[in-house]
Amino acid sequence: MSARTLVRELIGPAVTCAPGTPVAEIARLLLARDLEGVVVLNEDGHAVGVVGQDELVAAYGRPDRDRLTAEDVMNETIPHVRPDIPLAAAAQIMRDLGVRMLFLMPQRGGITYPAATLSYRELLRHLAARSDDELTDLGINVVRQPFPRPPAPPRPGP
Amino acid sequence: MTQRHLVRDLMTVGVLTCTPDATVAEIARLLLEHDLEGVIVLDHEGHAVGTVTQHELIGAYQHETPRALTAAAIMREDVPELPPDIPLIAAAGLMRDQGWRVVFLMHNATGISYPAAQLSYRHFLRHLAARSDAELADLGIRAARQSPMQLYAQKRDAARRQRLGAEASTPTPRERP
Repeated sequence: MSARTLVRELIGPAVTCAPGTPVAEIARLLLARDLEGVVVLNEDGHAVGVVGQDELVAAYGRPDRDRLTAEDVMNETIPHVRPDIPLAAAAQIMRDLGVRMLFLMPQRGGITYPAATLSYRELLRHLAARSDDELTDLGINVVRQPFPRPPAPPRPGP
Repeated sequence: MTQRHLVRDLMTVGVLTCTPDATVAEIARLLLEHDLEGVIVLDHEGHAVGTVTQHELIGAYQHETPRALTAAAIMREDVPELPPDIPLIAAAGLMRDQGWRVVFLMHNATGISYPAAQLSYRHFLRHLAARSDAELADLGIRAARQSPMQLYAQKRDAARRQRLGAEASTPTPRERP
């Protein structure tokens, strides 16, 4: 618990959507997965914006809200963070920028993609945790795991 | 999208509160357990003296030992309020302009101002997300909720059951004739 002092020790997976995803669907995604926001990826896999709760509440006030998609409401500035700074510094960055989520945006092969996120939710869980056991689903080692290994095929019986 | 136009149609009646000496760790647990944006701080006479939201909790990271700080140390010393009879669209705009993720509706009675209901960003998201009005059945002033008398009866019955259960699980040995 006290050992988790750097951003990389508390990050969670970043969730993405397409530019054409309707705002109602994004709202359902955020509620179902307790997210602050999602990153919008274009067809080439480039991160082009972010849709957070703030963008959705802005969309809520528009008369055409039933027809709006991620592309219409997204913020084109994706707030990013380095994995090796202290949590307190990341918390201050969020408050200074007026955002509730930051993304780790590494570059590979000319593409900048959202690899992980640190949001108010992870920080609240950190504050609330009675022991490190409550946070085992967070951190760079968890996020880095590629895909769950498929179950081994059943062995032929004797 | 469903036909709900005013704040009172979407707000949650009932507000969680904490005492001024509740710690950051306790409040963070409370917010996570109940999916809340913030709680009202009540002093020992029941007066609302401030608000602790997720924003204040994250601000606690600027201290050496954030978890041990108390509500009194980090709270904002006011309660963001909106009236229940303005349009939801106006409320959404006001909240964004003010940077409030949650607002409260206060009820005045016998010289004390009680927090009666709340409206947060989460409510707007649920309204956007709802496929039918049935998904919002727990929200708004018309939502079915228990009266104070029903809550009292429920607690009383639970206490009775617990007492009876405790007696049943430790039976006194009887002598057979």
